Amino acid sequence: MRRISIFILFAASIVTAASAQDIIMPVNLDKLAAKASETTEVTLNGRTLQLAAKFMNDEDDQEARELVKKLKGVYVRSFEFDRPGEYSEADVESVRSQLKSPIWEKVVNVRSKRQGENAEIYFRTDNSDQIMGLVVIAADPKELTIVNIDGPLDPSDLDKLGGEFGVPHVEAQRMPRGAKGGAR
Amino acid sequence: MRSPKPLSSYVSGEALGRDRKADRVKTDGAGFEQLVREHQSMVFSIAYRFLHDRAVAEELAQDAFLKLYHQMGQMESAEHVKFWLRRVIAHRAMDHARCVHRRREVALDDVQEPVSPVDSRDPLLERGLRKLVASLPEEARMIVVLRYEEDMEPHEIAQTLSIPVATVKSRLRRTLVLLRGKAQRLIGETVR
Amino acid sequence: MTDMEKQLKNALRRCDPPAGFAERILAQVAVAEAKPVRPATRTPWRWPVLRWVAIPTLAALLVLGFWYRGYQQQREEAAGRAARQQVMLALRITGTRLRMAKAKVKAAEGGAEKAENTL
Repeated sequence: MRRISIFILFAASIVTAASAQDIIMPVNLDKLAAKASETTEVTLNGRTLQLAAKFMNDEDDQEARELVKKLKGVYVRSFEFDRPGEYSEADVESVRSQLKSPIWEKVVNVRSKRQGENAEIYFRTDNSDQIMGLVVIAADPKELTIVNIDGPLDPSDLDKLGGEFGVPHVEAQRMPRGAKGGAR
Repeated sequence: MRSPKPLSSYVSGEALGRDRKADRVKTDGAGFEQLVREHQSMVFSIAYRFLHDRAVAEELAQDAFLKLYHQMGQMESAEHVKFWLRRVIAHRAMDHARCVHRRREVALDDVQEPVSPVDSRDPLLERGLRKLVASLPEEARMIVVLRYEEDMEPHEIAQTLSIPVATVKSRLRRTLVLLRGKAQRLIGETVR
Repeated sequence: MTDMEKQLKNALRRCDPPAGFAERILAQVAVAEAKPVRPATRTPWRWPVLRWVAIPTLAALLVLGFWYRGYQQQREEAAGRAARQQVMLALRITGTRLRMAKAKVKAAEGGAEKAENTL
């Protein structure tokens, strides 16, 4: 099976990443790479992000650089499969279960039962309601993507995430605390 | 298995129609070093974009430069050196691909992707395109690499690969159609 | 040039060889250029013999030494640039997913509104 994998391993940073990041990418997720036709894995801890920021000197990089400089970690696991059913709900649940603690708030939850697509966005906030972490879970029949960004984010940063790096702007719509789910 | 062509067959100053007296290449060590630094990206990139194997690309590129070192006395001009290097690395890369007899698997499992000077605007699409290019047959793949990486015109590609210009043009046309269709399926958008 | 061709140019743009590539070639050439030792028939340890062995060897060691220092520096630069590319890729993926989630929210809201209007 053809597989594209982009894998960055900084040996020391893996250990520190496991201890520093709030969300742990479970081992069963890594096993999905064996079944995926295309795998993207990005594991960047704070030290590596600071190193990367030193080399983001182009004019186009400035906003990304300002964002990246304050982050503690960026973790991406993205899998594409040739057929539906190559990953299970349990694989995704192993990440979701870590987001059930009160410090995490689900702000977007979109499910399409007909198409089998599911998109969830979680924020972690501190006492002053500042966003300190973001998790995106995008589960399609043949694609699974989990993104964890650890570090302070402003709403304008979210706009930039969805806008400045080559795609249209996204306004993050925060749900009131206590509201269940989102658009279904 | 086809054996590699002798390197002497790659050298053809007359084919370029250049004035032999103009722009002589310095054959001393400093001249060679200058040529290495000037063309290292070109030679490595052609091999790497074609083979998607960093270690082999480096090996073939080093080999090409070491051969150049021993052939410096035969170089007519700076243009000749460039043509010679492109031709050598293109043929060597294609010979290597044929000798290995395996389908190009785009396994970018290098720890580091080679550094490109310009940041991409759409890394996902570009990665997909590189994968599609890597799946092409050897000759079509090298034509695409020389056309879009080296900005070479069809007649230059034809000289480099020793094939007719009409073949280069028709292969290029068909390959673009093929890549466009596959790229559309890849990204789900219309690609002009 | 069509968009497709522009994307191909971007995807296939030249990339730098591994750090120290040029230095490794030059080092190989320098070592190859070192003259062979001629054994003296009468006094093998005389200075002229040693000179023709030691000087090219020292030169090669110096070249390797300079190369190694430059190699280390270039390695760090390469690591930094690679990290930057991965950061941009990660941000790009995140942006794509956020955009898709937004599109789904809008589609769902549009469906809900349509359902309300038909009631």
